[in-house]
Amino acid sequence: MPEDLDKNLIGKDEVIKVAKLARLSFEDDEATKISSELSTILKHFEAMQSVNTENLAPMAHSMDVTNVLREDEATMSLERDEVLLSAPAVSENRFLVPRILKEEE
Amino acid sequence: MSSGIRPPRFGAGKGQIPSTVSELVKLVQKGEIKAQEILEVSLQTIAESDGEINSFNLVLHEQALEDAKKVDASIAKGGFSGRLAGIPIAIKDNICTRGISTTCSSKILANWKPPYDASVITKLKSEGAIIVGKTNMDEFAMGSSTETSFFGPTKNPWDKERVPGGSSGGSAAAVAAGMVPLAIGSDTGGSIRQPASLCGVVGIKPTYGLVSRYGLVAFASSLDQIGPFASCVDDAALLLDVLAFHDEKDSTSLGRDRYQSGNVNIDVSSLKVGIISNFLPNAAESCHQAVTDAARVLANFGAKVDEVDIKELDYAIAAYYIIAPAEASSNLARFDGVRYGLRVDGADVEEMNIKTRTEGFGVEVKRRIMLGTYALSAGYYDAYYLQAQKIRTLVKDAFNKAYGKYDLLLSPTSPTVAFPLGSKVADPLSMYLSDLYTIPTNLAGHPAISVPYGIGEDDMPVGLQLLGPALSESLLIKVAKMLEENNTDKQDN
Repeated sequence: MPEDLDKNLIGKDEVIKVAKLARLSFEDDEATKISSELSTILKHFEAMQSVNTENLAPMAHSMDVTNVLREDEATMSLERDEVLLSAPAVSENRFLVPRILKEEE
Repeated sequence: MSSGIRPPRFGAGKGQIPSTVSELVKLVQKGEIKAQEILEVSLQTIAESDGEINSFNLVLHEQALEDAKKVDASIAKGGFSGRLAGIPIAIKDNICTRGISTTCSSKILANWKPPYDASVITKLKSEGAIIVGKTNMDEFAMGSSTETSFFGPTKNPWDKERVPGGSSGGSAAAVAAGMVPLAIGSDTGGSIRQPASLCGVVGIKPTYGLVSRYGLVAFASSLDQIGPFASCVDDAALLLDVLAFHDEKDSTSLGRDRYQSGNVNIDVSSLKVGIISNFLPNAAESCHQAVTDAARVLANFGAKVDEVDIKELDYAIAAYYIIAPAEASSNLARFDGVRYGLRVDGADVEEMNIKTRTEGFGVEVKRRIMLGTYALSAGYYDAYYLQAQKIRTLVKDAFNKAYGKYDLLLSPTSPTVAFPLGSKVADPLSMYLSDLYTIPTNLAGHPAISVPYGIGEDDMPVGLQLLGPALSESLLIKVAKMLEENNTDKQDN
């Protein structure tokens, strides 16, 4: 059966937009594939939309634990040198990243 | 299709290793067997079998030997009461071990060595457990077959043409193949119970908050729980007992007093058990049969067994595949090439982020990040994420209503026995549906146990799932043990 992209719940443009938000990039054929896969998944789960949830509160957490407090006591934190050992690039005890601000035109 | 052969338990045919961990610990504490000797059995079995099975990403030969020597030395010096003295254990590779690779079976963390131990690791060490290695898993625990691992799939020890389940497939396979008597994994939507079922071992998903998540690489924080694998219920219970403690480094940690308070005398003859009937129509014959057989055994002991239709649970999988990817998309934002893990250079920081993540994450992880980002994005939030959170309430309420009537619920752990390698990996939806029976428990935060129960299609093991309300682990363990003792297909020791 030929793939009808118009019928996809998530079109390729949408995939490209969401990928940008998620800091991912896809080749053209990958984006097409993801558009069709995500659409299939969401269509299968569409039954969820028909459930009447009007009187239900949304649940973010299953157990009733709130405001866990402890004494404000100083304890050892991670060793700086050991932490920096994992970093891809380091300079003067700091994480080194590429340029963030664009050069002015 | 090929068929399964039961692999030998830990230590079988290799010296005087008793069949349970508690007996083995006693021998170690009395100095009758050395931790080093037990470790040797473990390493030897790994050397013999793991080339083919691929359950370990890393085996810690030298570190483990050093740790075993320490346990032996303290016993020689006058005693050591560690509850896991000298017991080799395998650790899922998403649980942080200081100075030892913790990869989540992902390219993005392939060379990462955490600067700290997870709280459960600190605890296991203090009880004398010997960490033998880090086990293979689906990348970032996203999968049900251990095939999304960057390091290649793990094979099922019963039949190496089949998957071990996932995501904790390496831990389940390592126990099933007798490489270690104990292992730990993590369960977000069934990642302990489903591989336990497919590999013929015991797996427990504890109540959310019973086991500390500090040092568990987060997938979906409101669902993730660490739990035990073992070859029998007693051993799994012993390991759970070690893992259950209060940890102030995890603000969702409940503390074990609440768990112990559930440990009252249980009279099986007064139990009310509900079979989740709406799960049965799509279960394979053997999985359906396991439930029927178990129900008969429980009824023979005097328990009242009924079928119960909890139709709300049918919506759980849809809600899960919105909530878990949404949380994952947020949690995995930390992999940005700045502080740890892979970095792929780019002209500016954004390009570096994108290149790093695009090269570092595998296909399934990207698919879930995309799904989660979409569900949380403007215009779709209410229809997907908010609706899923409300359905989560619906599922929990439905469970609680059932637990008003029944002490525990019964279902197959998985709809089928272990499926062939490669048979679902190209079809994400069919893979997702293999977690149909395990997912609702995670949404509710409740505990569940998978216990081997019978041999099914192609001579592969079948798992039975016992589900209970929050902090009902003691009850589940007791009933699971009873069923284990009355399982005609149980392993000869």
